Amino acid sequence: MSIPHDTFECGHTLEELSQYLDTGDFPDPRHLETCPDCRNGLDSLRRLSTAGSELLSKDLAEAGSGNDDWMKDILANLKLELRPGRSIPLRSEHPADTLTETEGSVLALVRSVTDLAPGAVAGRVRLEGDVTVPGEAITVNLDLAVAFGNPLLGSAEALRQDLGEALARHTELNIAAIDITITDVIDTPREEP
Amino acid sequence: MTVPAQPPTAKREELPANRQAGLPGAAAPGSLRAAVLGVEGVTDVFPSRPLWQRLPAGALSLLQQAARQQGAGDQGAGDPDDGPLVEALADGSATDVTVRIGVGADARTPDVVRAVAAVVRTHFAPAEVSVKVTVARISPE
Repeated sequence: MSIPHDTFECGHTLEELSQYLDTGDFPDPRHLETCPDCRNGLDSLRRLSTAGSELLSKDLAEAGSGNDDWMKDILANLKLELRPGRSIPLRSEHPADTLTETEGSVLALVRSVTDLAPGAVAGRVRLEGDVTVPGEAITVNLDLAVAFGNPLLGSAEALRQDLGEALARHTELNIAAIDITITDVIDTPREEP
Repeated sequence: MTVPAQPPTAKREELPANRQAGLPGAAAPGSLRAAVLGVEGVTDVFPSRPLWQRLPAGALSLLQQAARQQGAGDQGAGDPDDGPLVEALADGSATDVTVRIGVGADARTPDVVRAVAAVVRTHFAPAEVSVKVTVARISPE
C-alpha cells in the first residue's frame, strides 16, 4: 500500500495531531491510544510547543503553526521520523525468536532526550549505517536548534553524554559517533532597558 | 495453541484483546496481554501489526474518509484499531506469536523485550512457539 508523503503509515497526519493538541478534535480519538507513532508524534509536538513558548514567548498555537523557519524545519523532519522505519535487532535467548525495536522508536527516544536539554530543540535526527545488522557501526546525526546565549560547546558535550547513556540503555546498537550540528540559533526576546 | 498435524494451508488465528479464543490451558489472549503488561518496564501492548498492514489496499483511506465524515466517537464505520493484540500464525510446523509493546524510559529495553519473549513462551508451553516482539515506543522521561 502506498502511503502519501505527509501521511503516517496509520493514515493520520502531523496536522491532525497538532489540531488535536490545539482543539481536542481528532477524527478517531481511540486511535491515539493504540498507535505508537501518533503517540510519539503527540509527545514531540507537546515538547515543541513548550519549547516554542519558552524560547519565543509566543502562544502555543502560534508555535505549533510553524510560522518560524526553524520550527518549520523541525515539523518537516517530524513528518519523516514518525514512522516505524527499519527494524533494529535485539539479541534473543531463543533461536526461534525475533526481537526488534523500530527505528522510529529510537529516533523518538533521541528526540525526547534532546528536548530535555535546556534551551535546545531537536531538528533532524538520523541513524546513519545499517541498523538492521547487529554490531554494525552506527552514527547518530542530530541537528539542533538552540536559544541564543546558551554555551554551545558545553551543551553539545552534555547532550552527547546523555544520548550515549540513553542509547546504551534502550538499544544494542554499536554507536560509533554522535554528531551534533547546531543548525539554528534562536534569537530569544530580550527585556527592553 | 493447538496446531493441526497436517493442515492443508497456513492458518492464521488472531486473538482479540478481550475475547477468549479456543486456546488450550493458560493460552487465553486476555491473560496473555495481562502477562505481557505484567513484565516490569512494559507500558503498552499495541495491536500486533500496524493498521496499514492489517487492511487491504484502499480500505485504509476509505475507513478514514468514513471516520472523518461521521465525526469523533461514532463507531458505526467499524474501528480499525480493534486489531488483535497478539497474533498467532500456525503453518503446521510451528506457531508464530507476534507482540508489539511500549517500554518505559527507566527500563532497559533489551532486557524487557527478552523478558516478554520468555513470558509468551511460558504462556504457550508446552507448545513450541516462535515469538516476535517489537518495541514500537519508548516512553519519554
